[in-house]
Amino acid sequence: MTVKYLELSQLSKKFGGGRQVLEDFSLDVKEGEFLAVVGPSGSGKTTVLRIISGLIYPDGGKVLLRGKDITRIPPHKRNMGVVFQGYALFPHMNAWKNIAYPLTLRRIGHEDVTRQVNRLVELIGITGPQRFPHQLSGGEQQRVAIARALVYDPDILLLDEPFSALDARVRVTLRDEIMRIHRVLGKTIVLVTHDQEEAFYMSDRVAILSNNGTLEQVGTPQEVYFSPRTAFIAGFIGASTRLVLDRYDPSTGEAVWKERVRLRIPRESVFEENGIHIAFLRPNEIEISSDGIICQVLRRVFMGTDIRVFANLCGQEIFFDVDAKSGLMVDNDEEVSVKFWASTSVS
Amino acid sequence: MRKAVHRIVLVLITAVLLSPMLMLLWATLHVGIHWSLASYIGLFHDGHFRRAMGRSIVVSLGAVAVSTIILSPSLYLVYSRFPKLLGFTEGLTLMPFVIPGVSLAIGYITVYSSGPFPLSETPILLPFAFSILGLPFFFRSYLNGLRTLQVRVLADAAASVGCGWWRTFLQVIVPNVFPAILGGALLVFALSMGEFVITDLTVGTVFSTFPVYMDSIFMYNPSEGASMAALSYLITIMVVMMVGLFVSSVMLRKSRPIKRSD
Repeated sequence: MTVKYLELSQLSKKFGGGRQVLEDFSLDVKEGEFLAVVGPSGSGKTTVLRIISGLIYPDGGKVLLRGKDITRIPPHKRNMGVVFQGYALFPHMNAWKNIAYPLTLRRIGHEDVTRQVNRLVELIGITGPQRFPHQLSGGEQQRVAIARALVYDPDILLLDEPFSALDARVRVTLRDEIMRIHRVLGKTIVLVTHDQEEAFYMSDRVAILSNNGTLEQVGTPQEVYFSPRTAFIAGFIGASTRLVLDRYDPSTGEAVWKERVRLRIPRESVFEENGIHIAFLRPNEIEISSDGIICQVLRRVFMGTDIRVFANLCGQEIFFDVDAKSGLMVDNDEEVSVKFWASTSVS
Repeated sequence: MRKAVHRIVLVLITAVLLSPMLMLLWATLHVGIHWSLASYIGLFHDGHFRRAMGRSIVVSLGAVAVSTIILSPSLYLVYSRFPKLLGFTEGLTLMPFVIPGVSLAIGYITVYSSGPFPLSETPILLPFAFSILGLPFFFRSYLNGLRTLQVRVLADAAASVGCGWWRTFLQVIVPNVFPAILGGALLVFALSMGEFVITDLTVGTVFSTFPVYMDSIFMYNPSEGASMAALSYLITIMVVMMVGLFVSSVMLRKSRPIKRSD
C-alpha cells in the first residue's frame, strides 16, 4: 500500500491586489516519488513549492507531512531542502562551507560534518570545493546548491526551476545527475518547471496546473500525454493543432470540420468548450496518404530525426512530422495529401 | 588648450578644499619665525584635552554601536519584510537634513529634562542623538550594500536550510553587507567626533567633548584651539583612510574571478 507522504489539501492563496493564485488545490506525493509540477507562467506552481517549504503560508487549506499538520511551521523548523532557480549560494562562504552550513546549524560534530559534506561532494561531482560562488560556473553553483539542500537529509527535496538559468548542455547533464541522485538516495523530490519535456523526462508523475491555479490533471507522463483530461492539457502538453469542429457525434466519433471534411476522431482527442467541440491533432496523428485531403506546404523545420512540415489546410495552419531520413521530402508550396487519425474523407 | 583648462580647474578646486587645512597647519606649526611642534606636544600635556578626546571617542563609538546594533537590523527588517515602507523610511532618515540640530537639542531638553527619564544633562542621550544625525549617511551606505545582494533569495535559502530571522541576518546578510555597514559606521563616527550643537546645548560643560572643549579653549588660547582643530582633521583623515583601505581590500578579494567552464 502506498503511504500518503506529503498531502496538500484544499490550498488557496491570494496575493496583493486580490489575485487568486491557488484555489482548492489538493495533491498527494508518495514517499520516494519524483513528482513534477508543470504549468504556464503565473499558474502558481512556484507558490505550491513555497507553501510546501514554508516560505509562504496558504490562506486556506493544509499541508500534511506523514499525516502531521505542518501548515504553520516556519521554514527553518521544517526539514525541506530547496534548490532555487538563481542558486542562492551564500557569497561569503566557499562551496564546501555552503554545503556544511546547514549541518553546523544543527550542531553536528566536526568529523560528521566533514564526512557528510565530502560524501556529497563526491556523489554530486563537485570539483574544487574550496572555491567561492563567484568563482564557479552556473552548473557548478547549481551542483553546490543541490548538495547544500541534500546534506541534512531533508524529508523532501524541492527543485524550483533549477535548470532555467543554465545553458542547454549543462541542463541535460544536470537533469541526468538529479535522476541518478534520486535513484541512489531514494529521496522524495518535487520539481517545479514550465518545461513539460523536462517534467516528462525526469518524473514518475506530473501534476499540471492551468493559468488560474487549478490542478488540471495528475498522472504518469504517458497518462497525461495520451489521455488528457481537459482541453487545456490537450493544448498545453505536446505540440498539437486545435481544430474547431462543426459537428461531433460522441457515440460514433464522427465529426465534420470546415463543413466538408469528414473525420473519425478518437473520443479522448475531443473536448467540449461552451457547447463547441474542439479536437487536438498531434503531429504523429497526421500521415501522408494518397487518399487523404490536399494541403499546401508553407514551410519546413529540420528537427534532427524528423522534419516538421507546416501546411495550409482549408485556411488553417496544421503541422506534422516526416522522417528526415526517409527520403520523402516535401518542398515549400508543394501540395500533399494527408490523412488525420487514418480516417479523413472529403465530401 | 582644453587640457590646460581642466588642470587649472583642478588646481583651483584642490586649493579651495585644502586651503583651510593648510592655513591651520601653517598657523599651528609656524610659531614666530620658527617651525615647531610645540603647540601639538602641549595638547597632550593638557589633561582636559585628553579627557575631552576620550569622551568624544567613547560617545562616537556609542553612536556607531547604536547605528549598527539597533538601526541595521531595523532597516533590514523594513527592507526584507516591509519593502513598501522603504520610501517612507528613506524620507524619515532625511529628517536630520531638514530639522536643524538646534531643534533636535531643544526637543531633547524639553522631553528629557524632567519626567521618568531625566537624562538631559547626562551623556547617555548623545550616542542616540548622533546616530540620528548620522542616519542619512548610514542609511544610504547600508541600503546600497543591501541592493547589491539578492536579499530575498538569500533569506529564503537561509530559512530553507534552517536559519531563523536573526541567524539569517547575522550569519548571512551582515557578512555580505559588512563593507557597507563599516562605511556607514565610519561616517557616523566622523560626524559624531565633530558634533558641537547638540552636545553644547544638552550637556555643555558637564560633559565637555572634544569640539566643546576646542570651542572653549579657542576663546583664550587661539593657538591651542587651532592645533586641536588641525588634529581633528588629521584623526578624521586617518580613520577614513584606514577604513577605506580595509573596505577596498575586502571588495578586491571578493571580486577576484577565477572563472571555470563546466
